[in-house]
Amino acid sequence: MAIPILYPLTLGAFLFGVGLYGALTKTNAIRILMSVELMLNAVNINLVTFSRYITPNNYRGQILTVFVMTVAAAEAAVGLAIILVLGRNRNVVDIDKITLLKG
Amino acid sequence: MASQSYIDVGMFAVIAIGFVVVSMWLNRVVAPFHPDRAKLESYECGEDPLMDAQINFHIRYYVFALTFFVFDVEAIFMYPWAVNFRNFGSNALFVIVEMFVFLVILALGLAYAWRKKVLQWV
Amino acid sequence: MSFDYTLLLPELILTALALVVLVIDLSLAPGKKQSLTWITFAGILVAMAGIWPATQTSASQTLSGMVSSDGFSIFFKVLFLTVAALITLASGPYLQQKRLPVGEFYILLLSATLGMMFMSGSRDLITIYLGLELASITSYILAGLLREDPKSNEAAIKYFLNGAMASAVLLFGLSLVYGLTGETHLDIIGKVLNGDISHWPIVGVALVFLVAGFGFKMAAAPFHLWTPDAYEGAPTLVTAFFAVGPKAGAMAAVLRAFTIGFAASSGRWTELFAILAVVSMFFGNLTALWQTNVKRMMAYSSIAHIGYLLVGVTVATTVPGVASVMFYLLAYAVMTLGAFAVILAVDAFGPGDQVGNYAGLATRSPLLAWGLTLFFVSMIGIPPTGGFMGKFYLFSAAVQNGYVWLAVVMAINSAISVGYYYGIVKEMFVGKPLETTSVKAPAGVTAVVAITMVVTLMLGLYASPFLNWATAAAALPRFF
Repeated sequence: MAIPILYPLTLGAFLFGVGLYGALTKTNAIRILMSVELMLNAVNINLVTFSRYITPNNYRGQILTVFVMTVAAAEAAVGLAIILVLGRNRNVVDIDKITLLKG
Repeated sequence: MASQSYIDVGMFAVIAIGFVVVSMWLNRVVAPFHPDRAKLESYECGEDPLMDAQINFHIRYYVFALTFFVFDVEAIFMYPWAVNFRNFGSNALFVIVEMFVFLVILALGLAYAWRKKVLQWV
Repeated sequence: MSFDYTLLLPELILTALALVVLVIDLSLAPGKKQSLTWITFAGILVAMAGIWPATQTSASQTLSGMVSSDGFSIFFKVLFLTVAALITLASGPYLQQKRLPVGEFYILLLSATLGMMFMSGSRDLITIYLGLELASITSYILAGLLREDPKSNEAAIKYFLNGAMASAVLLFGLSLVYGLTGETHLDIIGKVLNGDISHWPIVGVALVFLVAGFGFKMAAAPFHLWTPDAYEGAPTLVTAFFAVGPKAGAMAAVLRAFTIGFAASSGRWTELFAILAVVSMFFGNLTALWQTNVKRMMAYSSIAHIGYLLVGVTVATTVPGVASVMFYLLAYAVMTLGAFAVILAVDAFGPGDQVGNYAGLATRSPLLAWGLTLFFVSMIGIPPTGGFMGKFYLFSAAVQNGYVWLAVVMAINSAISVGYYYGIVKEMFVGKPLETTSVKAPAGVTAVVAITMVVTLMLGLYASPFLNWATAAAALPRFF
């Protein structure tokens, strides 16, 4: 194998870190959603890497990746719809300004 | 072995870029070039661009996009199904029925979107 | 290819039911959808009857071993279907009054129940993840079902953003587990992790991710931040469902995943859950003391109850530990649904959802007031109620396994919780009512209050059949 397993795993961990940082620090709901998608893609990289390097004859990791992709799509669709309704009713997408409920 | 495949990819990239550069250069050399104002517009024929390209899209686009997006991604399940179909042998009928159940559920989703007038442009 | 229909019968019925409701909903004219309530209710009862064949066969695994239908999952399937049935029973007039989309509510409720049923039956990381997401994504939509209400929008967005992040964190943990073991099946993961590998630091990292992810889903402190807002903003009926369904689902998945997959590293995750338990109990109970909104108070109270349940999870390496969690979940589900039925009646058909709105309820609607009192008594853990027996079993399971300090913390917290429950009870019996007319609770809501009152008392007075059931389900061949 030409590429050591460390490279894709580092990429996955790095992407996950970037996503987690973004999800925790950003206030724009759409940016948080993007960050979460980044985290999910980091997981996909991990799963495909493990599937390829550790169990080349067992595709369970890749199967899980397919499911993660579709679930992420459904999640993004629901999330965008919620943000859309919020934007229509209140004209904000900034979660710092959503303070009707004290949380 | 592996490095061989990288060389292949590199050569492919060089050829691809080279083709674009050569054909654009050839165009410059061969074609006559007499510019005037009308010819320098982005679209020579058709309407003048009126405003900036970065505008607010109508909110309707999002609903279309979301609907498309969900159905688009669900198609991913059909690829492994189609690729492995030959290997199922005696279970083939069962597998076909399974896929049709999946498609029926998707179709019901589409019917729902249709009835809720998501597909209609207002 | 092993696919045994009889074992998946309840799930299949529920899926078909959701699709049937969708089709009927599309064909009915707006405003004439009352029949959907009864179709859904009847369908849920049919699904419950569909559990019967699975109890008669010796086979217990299907879908190539990814889903099992053993006593453990049957216990939870009965629980989830009962919750869905009670919610449906209370739903009709409420949906009409709040102008909620009727068909969509039932489809989402059924889908969420389906996801929870898969969570309880899964023996594979893939199906656990799918069940979890099915339950979560439908919950996000349910929270925002009141589209015109900014509070409901806000609840939905907060629940969604926190939940999506929790899913990603959980999934990262799952990917690490897959990388360590090369498998997604819990039995094989358990076997692989049984060796020296269970002492590797990376196993600990994966466990932290998993505990954090599941902690978010079941709203254990310190991962509870979304809970109060989601509870307050969501429609009350949906809040009732949130307080029971997704939590019980996450709890079922935790019990199965950790006791089978990570049995060998139990020393590590039990400590993590013990910490979560203590933090949840103290945080939930102490914060609940200051609340003026009843739905918000119930949110903090539910965090505290998750703390009690996590005491049982801490000792889930033993059969009494698992059985006590299952029994307490049953009692918790019944008393919480009952309490929320009263809150729903007072909120939607009475004065509102503030503590002050309960003033003089005992003279206005004695059944609701006495019902709520009974549920609160049960939540505090005073006999002769299901809550008392549940806490008693949790307590003794913790003491038997050397967690005396945890049991003491639990007892202290039960005492603290008297404070906020008593506030409402006092308001109901001593407070002066602003109006004298009775709260016009619909028949369905009253029925739910009556049923849950009876069951709460039954769990307190005749606990042993239920406990035997839970113990039999928990003692299944596993990977100890």
